[in-house]
Amino acid sequence: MAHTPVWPAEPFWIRLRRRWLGPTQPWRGAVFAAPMLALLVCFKFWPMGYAGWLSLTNASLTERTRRFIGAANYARLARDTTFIGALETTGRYVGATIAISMILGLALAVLLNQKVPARGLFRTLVFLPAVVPIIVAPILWQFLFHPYGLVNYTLRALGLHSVNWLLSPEGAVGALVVATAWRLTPLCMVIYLAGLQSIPHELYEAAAIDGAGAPRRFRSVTLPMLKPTVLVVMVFAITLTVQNFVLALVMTGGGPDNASTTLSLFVYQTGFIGFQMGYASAAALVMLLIIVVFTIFSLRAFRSHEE
Amino acid sequence: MLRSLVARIAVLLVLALPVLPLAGGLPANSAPAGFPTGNITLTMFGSDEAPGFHIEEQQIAEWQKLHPNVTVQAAQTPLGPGFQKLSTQLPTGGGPSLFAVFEPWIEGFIPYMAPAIPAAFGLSTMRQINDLYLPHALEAQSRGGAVYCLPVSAPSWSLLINKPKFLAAGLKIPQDVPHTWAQVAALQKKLTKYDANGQLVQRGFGVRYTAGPQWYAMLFVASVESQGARVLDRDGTPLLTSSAAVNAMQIFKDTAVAPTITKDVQTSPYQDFADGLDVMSYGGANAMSFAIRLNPDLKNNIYVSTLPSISGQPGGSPKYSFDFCVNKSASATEQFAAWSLIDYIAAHGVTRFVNTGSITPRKAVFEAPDVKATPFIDVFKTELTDARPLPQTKHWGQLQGAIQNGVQKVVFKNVPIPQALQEAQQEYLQAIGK
Repeated sequence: MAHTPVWPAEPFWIRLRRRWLGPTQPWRGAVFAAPMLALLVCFKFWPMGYAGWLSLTNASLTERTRRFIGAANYARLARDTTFIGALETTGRYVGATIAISMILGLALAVLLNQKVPARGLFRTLVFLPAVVPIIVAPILWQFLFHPYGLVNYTLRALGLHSVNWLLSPEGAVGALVVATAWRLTPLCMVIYLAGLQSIPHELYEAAAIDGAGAPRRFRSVTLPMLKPTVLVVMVFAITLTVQNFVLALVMTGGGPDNASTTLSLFVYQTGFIGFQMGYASAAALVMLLIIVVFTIFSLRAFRSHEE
Repeated sequence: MLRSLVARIAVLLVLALPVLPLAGGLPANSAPAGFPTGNITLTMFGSDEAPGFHIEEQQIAEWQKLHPNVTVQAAQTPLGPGFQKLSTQLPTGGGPSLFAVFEPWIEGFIPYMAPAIPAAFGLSTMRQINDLYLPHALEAQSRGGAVYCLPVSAPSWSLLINKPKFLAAGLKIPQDVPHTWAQVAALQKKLTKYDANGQLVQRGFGVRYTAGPQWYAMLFVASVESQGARVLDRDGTPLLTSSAAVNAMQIFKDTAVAPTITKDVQTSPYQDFADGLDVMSYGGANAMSFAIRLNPDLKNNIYVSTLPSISGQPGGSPKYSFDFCVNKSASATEQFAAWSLIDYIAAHGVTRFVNTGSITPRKAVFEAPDVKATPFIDVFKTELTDARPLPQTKHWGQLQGAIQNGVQKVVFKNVPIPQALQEAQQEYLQAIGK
């Protein structure tokens, strides 16, 4: 007689633990995890907790004392037009950058996953922007986006109008999107490549036997099999783009007239130029919350597809 | 006989020693009495710009020969990253023993700075330290009569003119050299040139919009103050909508010629002048030196005049400096040694000037033959004396940001000046939480 499982098979707390912590590990697992956990606590969780505490105070770098002010910093953020503008700019900047990087990264990965001559060389060349030092990239793009620079020269050669990239409200965010996507796309491409190489070749062969052409194979085999990779790329791209501030700081300084002030730049300017650490911490926590919400949203979206 | 002579010399020395410092007669940098003994280690955030850093290294080595018990660990620290490090280290009791600051930061960092120790200079009072410098040179660095930082570079701005290009436009020197901003604006048409493709190849004057907000925020502040007005009242309330502020903002509107065409960047703010794109530019003696290093053809081809103002009177330039300060958290012996080192560097301002063009506003510097022989040194010195001090506020960052956005609204978005100033005022109040 087959064993019929009785529901509930395990007490609730065991199921909860399994869901959050995974299968039970021997105690040695904890020993191996402890050093990394200690590092995370010291350099990640404690500072985050401390920032949470600071966000409830009027902490300033120029004052030795600080006072608990409750949620006043958060209330101030809700009224702060510069912060709201930064939120809006971040939304446009992150949305456009991620769309470009993910689509272009996938296209490049599919292309460089083919058996083409000098594939290794092309992969290296495409990956180069990702290894350019972060401070070099914005300076390089400042020159490329000069009104008489290469970007506008190319636009004119194509019969298009020049764009005032760095000093116009319309051009500044666009310039940041292009520069960030230039760095991010190769990183996305590498992750996609790893995902593509893990798809069993037999699936493509079976699809081909069934008469599926290349577009159909891409739609019915590649994309579904790549879903977990897409999730990784998306979370990775959101986190990197929302946090990125060096490009905005060097290329536009957030200008003109705050047109390219992103959330991370707002946090930096408030904390380190304006010395208001309590207020900057509140803005940083809002930024963290946004990243967490988007990550959870992505996880849920992909989980529902799996189900 | 010999014993008597030795005794007389000893008596004379004993009598003379206390008198020398009072007279300011001890040369700075001689090992002052009471210099701490025992091993001392000083950490330092110094200049990162060549050749400034090499000069500092050389001066530190010379000073260490006088004080072999002191080790100095100097790190090349760019001002921006240095500011971030100091912002986080100083409030937690960390940070280097001595560090370089940009003058507007002083008010924010003052709780973490140690006052000067006159004995480390071989002097006995703060007043005597002040007396080493040009009048008003240490006002921004002093609180309650105590000096907290010493400037090693005070680059108040003058008008720099590319002589060959100015003359080539049919203009004469000094007859046509502008003294008001209206005259600068009027010269723009005469000096602006486009090539066959319609690309700008020369203009009269360019504000550095892409090299950092300080280049126009400080010009705005000095222009307001040159009219007898202020940008902040004594309580810190912004006065950005005054008629003086409107006049100051008009400078940017009137002088703007293709302001987006520029290669000026934070690390090379004089690039357009060096390239010949801007016939006239602004900066201190260090700017002239910097531009010549970028383009050696400019040597002996730059004419310097006082910076234009709204009225045409001198005093349209901002007074600011780059200073060395000492960390309050350093031990008493480290503070003494640090001030002694700063005094040594400041007293050898001539070496810095000859190599970088940076002026240490110390009286003795202007007496040195090398400095006296420098063309236009009197213009630079007058500028330092007449320049307008920046407001001493903990909110300089926010004030600079609000002015920056106000100017950008006017120049890049064509917003009417009164509206841009009104918005700048609101932005400042919002940024400081009022």
